[in-house]
Amino acid sequence: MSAHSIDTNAIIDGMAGRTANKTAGLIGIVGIVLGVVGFALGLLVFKEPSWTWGAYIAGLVFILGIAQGGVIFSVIMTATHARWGRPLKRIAETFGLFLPFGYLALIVLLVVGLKVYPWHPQTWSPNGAVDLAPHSGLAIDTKAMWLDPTFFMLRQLVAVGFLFILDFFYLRGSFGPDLIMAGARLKSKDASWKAPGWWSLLGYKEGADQAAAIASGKKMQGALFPLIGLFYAVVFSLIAFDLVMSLAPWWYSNMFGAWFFASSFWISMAALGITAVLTKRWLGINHLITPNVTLDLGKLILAFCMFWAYTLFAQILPIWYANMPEETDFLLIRMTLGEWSWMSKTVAVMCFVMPFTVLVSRGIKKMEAPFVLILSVILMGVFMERTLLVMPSIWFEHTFPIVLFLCVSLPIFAGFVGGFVLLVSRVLAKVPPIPVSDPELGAHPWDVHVHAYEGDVLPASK
Amino acid sequence: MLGNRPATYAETNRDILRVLFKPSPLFILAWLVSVGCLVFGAYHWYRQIFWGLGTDGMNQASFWGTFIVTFVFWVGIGHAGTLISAILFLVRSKWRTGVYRASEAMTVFAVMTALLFPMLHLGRVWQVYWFFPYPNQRQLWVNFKSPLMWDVFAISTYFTVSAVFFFIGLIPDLAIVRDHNTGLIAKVYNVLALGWRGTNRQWRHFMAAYGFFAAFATPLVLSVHSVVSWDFAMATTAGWHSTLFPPYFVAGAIFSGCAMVITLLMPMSYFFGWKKYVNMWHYDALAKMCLLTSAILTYSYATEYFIGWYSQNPYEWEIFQWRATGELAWAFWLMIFCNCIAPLPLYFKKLRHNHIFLFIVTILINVGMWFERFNIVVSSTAHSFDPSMWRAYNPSFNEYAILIGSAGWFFFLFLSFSKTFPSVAMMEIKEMVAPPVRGGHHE
Repeated sequence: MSAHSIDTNAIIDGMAGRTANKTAGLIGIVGIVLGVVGFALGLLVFKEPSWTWGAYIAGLVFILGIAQGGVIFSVIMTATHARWGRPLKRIAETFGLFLPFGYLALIVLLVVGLKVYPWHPQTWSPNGAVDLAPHSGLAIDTKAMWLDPTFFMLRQLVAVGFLFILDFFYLRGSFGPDLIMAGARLKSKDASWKAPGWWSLLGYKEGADQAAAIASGKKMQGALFPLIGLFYAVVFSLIAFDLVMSLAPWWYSNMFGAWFFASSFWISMAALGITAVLTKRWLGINHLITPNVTLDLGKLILAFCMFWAYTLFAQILPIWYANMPEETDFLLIRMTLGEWSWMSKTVAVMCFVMPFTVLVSRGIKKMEAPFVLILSVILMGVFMERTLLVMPSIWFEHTFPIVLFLCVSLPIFAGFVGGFVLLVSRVLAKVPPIPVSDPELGAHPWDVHVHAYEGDVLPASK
Repeated sequence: MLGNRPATYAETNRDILRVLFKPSPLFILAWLVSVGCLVFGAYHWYRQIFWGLGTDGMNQASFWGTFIVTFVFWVGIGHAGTLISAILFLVRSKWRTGVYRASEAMTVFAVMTALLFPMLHLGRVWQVYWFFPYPNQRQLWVNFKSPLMWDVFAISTYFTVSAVFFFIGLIPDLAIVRDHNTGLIAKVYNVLALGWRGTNRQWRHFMAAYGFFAAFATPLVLSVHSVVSWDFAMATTAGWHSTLFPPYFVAGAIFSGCAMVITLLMPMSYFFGWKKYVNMWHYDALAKMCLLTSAILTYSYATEYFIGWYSQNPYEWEIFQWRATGELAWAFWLMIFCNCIAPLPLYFKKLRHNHIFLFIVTILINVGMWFERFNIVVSSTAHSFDPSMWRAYNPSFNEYAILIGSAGWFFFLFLSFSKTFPSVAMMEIKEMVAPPVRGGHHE
């Protein structure tokens, strides 16, 4: 066995009798139903297309970030040859399998909901379409071209689609050899065993040569990880600039893209921590997701928590200091107006103050319940942060619509999360829960043994 | 890839201590060249003090010339050392072992070099104490609202912590140097080693202190160059006012710092015969860091241009166009070539493992990073809002001489260090070697 001190055969054998997790299935279905109901309520009962599609954007960018962040976690493991997080790699990769559904949701937004953008000529905004003409005769007219609906739609579909295709081939490179290995083992133990049909999409071929599959999978991952890292930054910046920042078409911050893709990866790690802790017994990997693994993951999440705060502060400070009207209005609305200001404070507490205070503790990162709880706080905090980025740009009333938030925003968010939970739990039930063919699975030999060398011998004690 | 590891503790001591104290003719030549550059720069600083800032090329529009460019450059170089020693220590990265001591030394000396430049730029250097806040008869107080003042605190904090961290890491190795010497030299090293005996209790305290300082230094790596970037980003000047500057400056600093570590360590390893300790394993990891940070810089340059274009702000777009097409366009394209294009071949392992190619790329990177700061500092002031204030900026001979002098000062310190203290951390190298055992058996 390639993996050092891990019995991968036992892990594969554990797949045989595994059935779908009923709790996860229930959460998923309830979430999806809530999402559909909330969406219908927003459009048909409250008749607020702006708010409804705004909530859809907030939920979509949130869930896309988690799904893509899972692939990035795997990419980082591949790039750095890190061993501490290998037991988490497969769970993270499973997140990436939600991306095709996220892409479908993006198509729905671009085809049906684009009028939520205030720059759209037929916008639903009560104030009509925002004038994109330059404010100065010296300026060139770029916004009208960049924010043209057709161009907007096409570049999103092409850019996001391209990244997801890269992800797909990368994931095949990781899943494929494991599925071949698992298939061969399960078939050898039970001749009547049959692989699920969708395994072939992930690179499974019955009877394929395992060594060749491992070599080609490694090659595929090695070739694609730098490209995915690069395009992740570019495409998620584009998502941030287009889907979120352009809701306020005259505001800009060149940190916005980097802030957005870093926080997407951050929430993906939080979701990974929750999933790993909650599913490890069901998946039979309790002995691999040790407190030391959650400790290391928790440290990384803490680091990204600080990075989130750092990049947020680095955006706010120059805008506050320079005090230029074209920059300050975006912040003033969110930080000083009515309930938005309360939401800003809540986001600061949930995304920084609480996680920082709690995750500094070494012990808590090793304790399951508090760890899951604080990661859940981070996820809710970032959902509220996404809501705060989106909604004030398209909601021009002076009061915060608490009913719409509770009846539309939260259910739509639950819908995206439910779909994600359902898919991830169904997939995890049927695939090896760790990358069983990965040569870097398990502790590094350096960390296990210290061998004595000849020739450096102290005199025997008397 | 580990390279040829030393087999024993004794061999490690022998290899590292062998190069101390006895300089080769080539080393003496290098040291004399650095001292010569230092004297050359010092003389031109003296000229500047005597005749005033008129000896430099700065003018009413370009009031921040090469002094601030070089200041930011050296602060940037000072980043990689703490990154390698503190952050890689915290993430338990193994390749740092062979290179972190020299990187830390580089950090401390680079920041010492950077600290000269605010004094140089001040002109009236005897008034440098005005930087610091204290009750005084002038009834004046420093302007805490100025980002330049934040810089004073950020850099002095960074320097203090880096220097203490550097010194703490040296203690066990200083004791080894002491134990291999006699007489006055041993006494001096005994004082420097703070009486280190290597007892269990001392090691326990040492490791606790080392971990603490590593954790303490880590946020400073981010903060110091972020604060330096705010010297520019806080202003409303087109091309400077950018929210992206802090992480972009930090990435650039790590980029140039890692390149400088390779530039320094490659000849050092070659001439000192330290291939067991500093080899392709380390260069490969550092080159990958350069590749990653080069990608971050390329992303940042592209984002700045995109947002400048997207914003429809005529001043922003004008400065970005001018940088690429105006009279300083050569500096801009040199920066793009050195920082974005030249590191790309490092993607290929074969080129990454070619010593000469890698060495040349690291030098190009540092040239590019100096010109990045030149582009930022000079172009925005030379081509600001009011066309009547547009002025060409040409650094004077005096400024170039001081730039050379700063390099002389840095290399003088670094070379002197390399002959006085162990430039490879013996204590950590030994962690990768089997411990000596009594009678040939573990006890």
